[in-house]
Amino acid sequence: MLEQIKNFDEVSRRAFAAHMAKACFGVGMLPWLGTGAQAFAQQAKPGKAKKAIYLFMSGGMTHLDTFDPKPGGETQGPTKAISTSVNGVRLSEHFPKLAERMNKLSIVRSMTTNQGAHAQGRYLAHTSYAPRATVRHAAMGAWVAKAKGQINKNVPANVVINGGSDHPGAGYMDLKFAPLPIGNPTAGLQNSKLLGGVTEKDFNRRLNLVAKFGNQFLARYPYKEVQGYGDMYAEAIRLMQSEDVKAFDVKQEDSKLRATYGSGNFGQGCLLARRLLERDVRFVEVQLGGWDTHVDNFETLAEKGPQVDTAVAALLDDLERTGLLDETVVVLTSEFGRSPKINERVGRDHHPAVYSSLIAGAGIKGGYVHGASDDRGHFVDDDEVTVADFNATIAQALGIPTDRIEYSASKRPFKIANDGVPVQAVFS
Amino acid sequence: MRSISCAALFAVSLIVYSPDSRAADDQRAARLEASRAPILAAAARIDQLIEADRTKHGVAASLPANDRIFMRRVYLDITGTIPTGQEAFDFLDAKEKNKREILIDYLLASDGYASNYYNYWADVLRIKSAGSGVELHSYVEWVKESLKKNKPYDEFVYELLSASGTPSENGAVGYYLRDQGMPLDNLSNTVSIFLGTQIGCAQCHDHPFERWTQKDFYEMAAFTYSVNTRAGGKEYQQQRRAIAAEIKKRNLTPQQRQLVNQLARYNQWELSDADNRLLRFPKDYDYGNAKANDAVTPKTIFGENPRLRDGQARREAFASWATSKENPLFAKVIANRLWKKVMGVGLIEPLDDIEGAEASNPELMKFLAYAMVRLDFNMKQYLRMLMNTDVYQRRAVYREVSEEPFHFPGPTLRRMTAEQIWDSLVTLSMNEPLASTYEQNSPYRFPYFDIQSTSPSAIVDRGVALYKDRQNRGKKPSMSMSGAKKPTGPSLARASEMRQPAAAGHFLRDFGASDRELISGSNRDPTVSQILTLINGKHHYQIVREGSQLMELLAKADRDQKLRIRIIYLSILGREPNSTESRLAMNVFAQAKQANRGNRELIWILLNTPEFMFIQ
Repeated sequence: MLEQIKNFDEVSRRAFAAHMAKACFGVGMLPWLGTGAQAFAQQAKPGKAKKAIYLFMSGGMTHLDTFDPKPGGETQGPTKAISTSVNGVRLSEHFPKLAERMNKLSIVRSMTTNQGAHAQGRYLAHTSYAPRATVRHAAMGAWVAKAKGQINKNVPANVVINGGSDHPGAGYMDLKFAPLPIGNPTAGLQNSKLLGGVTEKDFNRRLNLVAKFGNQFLARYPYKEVQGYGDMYAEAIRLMQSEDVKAFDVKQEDSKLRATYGSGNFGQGCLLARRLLERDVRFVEVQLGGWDTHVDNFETLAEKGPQVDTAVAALLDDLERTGLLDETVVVLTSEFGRSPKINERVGRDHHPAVYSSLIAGAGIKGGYVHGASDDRGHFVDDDEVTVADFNATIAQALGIPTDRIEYSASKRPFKIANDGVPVQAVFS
Repeated sequence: MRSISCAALFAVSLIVYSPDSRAADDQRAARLEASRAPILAAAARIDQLIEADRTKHGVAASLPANDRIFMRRVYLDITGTIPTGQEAFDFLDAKEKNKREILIDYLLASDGYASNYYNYWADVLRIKSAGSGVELHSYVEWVKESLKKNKPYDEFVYELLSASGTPSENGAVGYYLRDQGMPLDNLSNTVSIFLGTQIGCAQCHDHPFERWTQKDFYEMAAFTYSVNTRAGGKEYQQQRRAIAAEIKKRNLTPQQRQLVNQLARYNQWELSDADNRLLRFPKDYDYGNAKANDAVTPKTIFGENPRLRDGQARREAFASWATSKENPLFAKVIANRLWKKVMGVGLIEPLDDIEGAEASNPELMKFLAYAMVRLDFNMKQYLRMLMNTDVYQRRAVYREVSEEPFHFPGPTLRRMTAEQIWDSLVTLSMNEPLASTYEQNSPYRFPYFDIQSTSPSAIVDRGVALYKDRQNRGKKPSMSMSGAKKPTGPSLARASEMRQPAAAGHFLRDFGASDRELISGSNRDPTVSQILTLINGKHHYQIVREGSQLMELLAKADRDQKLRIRIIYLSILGREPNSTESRLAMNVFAQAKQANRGNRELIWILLNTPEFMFIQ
């Protein structure tokens, strides 16, 4: 091992030591290794946002064909670039609506991750930690729910729309911070009405009896997973019996407005996100899958790009119209980017070295581009932003201290963005 | 209920494992009996090793599980569903001293085994019945059929890794077609699933803290990279043009046209080896140990490199190497995987980081890997051995994810998987659910045929007929627990017999079934939507409708209220009610006034108690 360290340059050696510290203690225990943590404390601006919308492009979103085009570059392929409302900033041709609204958002073009496989990449994006066998980390949504608290007691503070089955959820945290999953945003919250022939009175009597019939089992197994179901009942019933349950029905929205989001599950999911924010949900994640474009990248983009463009543009407009944009941070990210090299199947393969993300809303600059990739879109050229840094930025936008520590059941310490440092430049 | 004979159950238990011989073949039955002794001896050896480990770490065993706990667990673990009330009664009532051994054998021989283990492997292998432009229902069937036949695990994996042909000839080609266009990801999954080693990170770059380099990854991938997935080439293109011309001649609607084209596209897939197409190091290859763009010579990351025989395809050589009894990881991975499936925690965690890892009980790990090889990778025999252990037959203990090694006081307490919950509700709703051919006959499947030898007009005819079939069938089957208050006929099937994976928002997905994107992507976390389903879900209608499995059984109780209560308890919780519960239940019936209302109410209550969803 010493032999290995000798061969490392200074930066790698520090990274190695930090890694060892983390492996042993869970967090970086050696403050002198923290890159600029003190500088951050002086510069940090208090977060303005109260809520967050987290748009996750599942599968690995190509950066060259979305938010980091290289017009005329050898790796660009057939995707053209268009100019935007901000001088000198260009987006891919599939995003005309966001191009118009470029003055309202920031792009980070120097994202990088060390995970090139989907499972690990998604896990890192959501939790800021690499997956480990001994603990399940908590995703951002659970952190936000816990740190910021539930405003509206009838609705869970954390919701995931169109999510995959592998979502880390609440991880080691209490199950009440776990996301409420909505599988189909158009169908809304299913089974929220009592069965035919069951009156409110019947229902309450039955619930009473469940407690009586079930208490022996609960006494025998007083554990988180078992008790969690009990707590979940109270929450489900509160939601079901409240007026807020209507928020889950996007069909109650004006049909013209609905149409502006696009009819797909992603567009309608974004609309549902706005409706939930109005009911004071803290954190809504909306996913869009199908970005794993190893095959026919450009054909897929021609269909996917406009879908995202339409939905996110409508969401930003709508949040602005309702005043929610002043208290909400909106981000769009993915597990990694896609290779500049176009493969023999006209696709692009996984590319963790560099990719792009968006951030907009409360306290965030408009018309700003942070960092850059090189000419080929292969490596970070300037101002590298790691996954943890990006998540730390979201945390700061929400006013959650990045040094706040939460403990797992076995008393291991964790932070919201691991050792990430917020990107100060995106704050206005 | 005593009037119903329990002899039937035990008569069937003598059927040997292969479903090919349904007749009560005395000789084979005797062989099964005879094979029990060595299995029990091996189980005892496991218990010794566990006990030694417990003593060493000062851990006490949990209490022995009583018959009812054992029975419910073993039904769920093997067949994926709770027993029917009748089955529960029969077992609890049986007097045979070795009735647990008999039950294990009986269940391993049942169709439920294949259905349940299919769900497990579908989660591991990320099985979809249709892939990117590929129709893969033959893959689904191939996996089920392999499990039904109890194909030895090494053969099972060898056939997956070396498969060639069309999906209709050989369902195993689905393993590569599932990841069509992503040969590198496919390889990284192969190594993770079957060799317990994570090399995915090395796909893109060397990692200072990981064992494997990008060179290692590419050398390994060179074995499987050259697989060719599309049939035909020129001839196929010609045929497509002929079909296009035929479509033009007929006056087809755009929808009909689309379906004909899909039908043609779905029948172009064929796996073959094109070993002259070489994998090359990436253009941006950045390390001194190889040159960018150079062809990669296949080499395995550990063990002895397989030597390619003349004319032997690289994939075949790789498949032989990977599944060889000499490969130290292959047996260890499956032994550890099935141990975890049965006991709840692996001896090595995670399952895909085995290489170089120390087991929590190294002696036991060694014995299990040895047993797996000695049993010739016979998965049923291996499970039979584990389930006959004393440790398996103890009360479940709770364990949170933790870095502390686990010393197995007993198996862990688990919530049922989404499929187990669904299948248990199906068990309450209908008789013989595995006999349902609902999905097999679905016009939403694309039929297979040889596209080159079929005339273009016949292909168009087939497409048009399929379109008509779908129109007649009406809405796409949702396989929900039916929205109607009084469903006319059950549109129900076991999870294994439905569309793969279930759509987002389906019951199965709400309870954490995998979306089949990532290896073992399912979860068992409670959510508010699960509770809403348990409270208000339409499955309640299915279970209490006339003719449901449970209601048929209840009809036999006639007016005997005590018997009704016992039947409902045995059917849902697999046990008799205790005296407090009996009294409470009698009250429910008294308040409800009508017997039917009472039934509905008690069923609803028990399905909403946590005991229903947990495997103790």
